[in-house]
Amino acid sequence: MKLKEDSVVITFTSTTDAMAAELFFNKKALRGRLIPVPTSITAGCGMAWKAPAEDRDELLTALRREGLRYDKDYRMLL
Amino acid sequence: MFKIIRSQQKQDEMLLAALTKRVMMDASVLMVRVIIKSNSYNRESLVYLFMIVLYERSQTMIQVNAMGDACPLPVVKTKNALESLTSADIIETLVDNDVAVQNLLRFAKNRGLVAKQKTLGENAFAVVIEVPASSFEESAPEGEKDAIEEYLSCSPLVCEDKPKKVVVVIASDRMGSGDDALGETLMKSFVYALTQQDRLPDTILTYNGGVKLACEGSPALNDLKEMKSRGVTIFSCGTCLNFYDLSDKLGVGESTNMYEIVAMMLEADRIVKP
Repeated sequence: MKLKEDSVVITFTSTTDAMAAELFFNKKALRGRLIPVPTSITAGCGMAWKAPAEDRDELLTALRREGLRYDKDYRMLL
Repeated sequence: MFKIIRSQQKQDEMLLAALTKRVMMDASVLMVRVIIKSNSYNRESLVYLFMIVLYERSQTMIQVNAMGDACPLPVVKTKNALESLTSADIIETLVDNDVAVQNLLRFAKNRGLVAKQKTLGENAFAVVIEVPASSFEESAPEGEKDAIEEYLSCSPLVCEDKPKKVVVVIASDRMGSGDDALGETLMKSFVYALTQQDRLPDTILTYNGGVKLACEGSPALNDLKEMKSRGVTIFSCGTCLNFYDLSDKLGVGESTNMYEIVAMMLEADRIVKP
C-alpha cells in the first residue's frame, strides 16, 4: 500500500488560481504537487497543492509575496 | 534428461545429429549452463548432458530475418514461422531494434514459450524462441511430453486467474478537450487519483500523446512507477514512442505493438478512458 505522509494541502478558490500557483511553485522549485482536492476536505471539485507539512510557511509566504490568492490550508496524512 | 540415453547406438545417433546440424554456435553457452546446473558432476555425465543438449538443439532451426522491418512485421513473420511448424523447433528472429525484441519476447511469453534475446551488435538483435516437441511426434522424449501436457493443462488456469480485467487507456497527455493547459492538469490529476484507489487497474495502456506520460520528464511518471510497483502492468505504443522520438525515454513499463494493444483491449472486461 501507499505510504501516507504528513502533508500540507493548500486549496484555492478557482482552478485558474491553482494552476497559476503550480506554475509559480514549479518555477521557484518549491516542493509539492498539484492534486485533486481530497474528498475529506470537500466533496466539491478543484485542485490543491500538496507538499510536505514542514513546507507550509514557506509556501504560504511565497504565495502572499507573489500576490497569488489561495483559500485555506490543511494538515493531513496523505 | 538422463533417461533418454539408453544405448551406445542412441548416443552415436545423437552425436551424429548434433554434428551435422548448425547448432555449434550455441555450444559454449549451453556448456556453461550445464556446468552451472549440475552441482556435482563428473566428466562423463557432463559429456552426456552436453550431447543431449546439442541433440535437442539440433532440430532444424528456422531463422526469420526481420532486419529493417517496421513494427509489427517482426512479430507477424515470427508468428507465421511458428504456425508453419510441424514439430519441435527453434525459431531465431533477427531484428534491428529493441522495441521489436520486447514485442517478440512478450509474444513468446503469451504463447507460453521460452524465449531468449541476444545482442549481436549495434542495432542487431536475435530473439530465440524454443518450441517444445509436440505430442504427435512419436519419438519425443518423455520429459518433453510431460512438459507439453503441463503447459496445456495450465493455460486455461491462466485465463481464469483474473476474472475482471480493468484496462485504463491513456490516449492523450490531456484529459478532455477545451483548454490544453487545463487538459494537462486534469490528466496529471487523473493519474494521481488513480494511485489513491483501493483497487488499481490491471493494465495501463498509453498511445499517441498519452505515451508522453510514461516517459522521462513526465509529471505523471512517479505515479505510474508507483502503480507498476503495486502490480499494474504498463504498456506504451512503440510506434508512438518512435513517432515522438521518445523510444529511449520510456521511463516505466514496456513498449508494445498494435496487435497487443488490440488484444489487451479485447480481452479487458472494462476499459477506462479518461
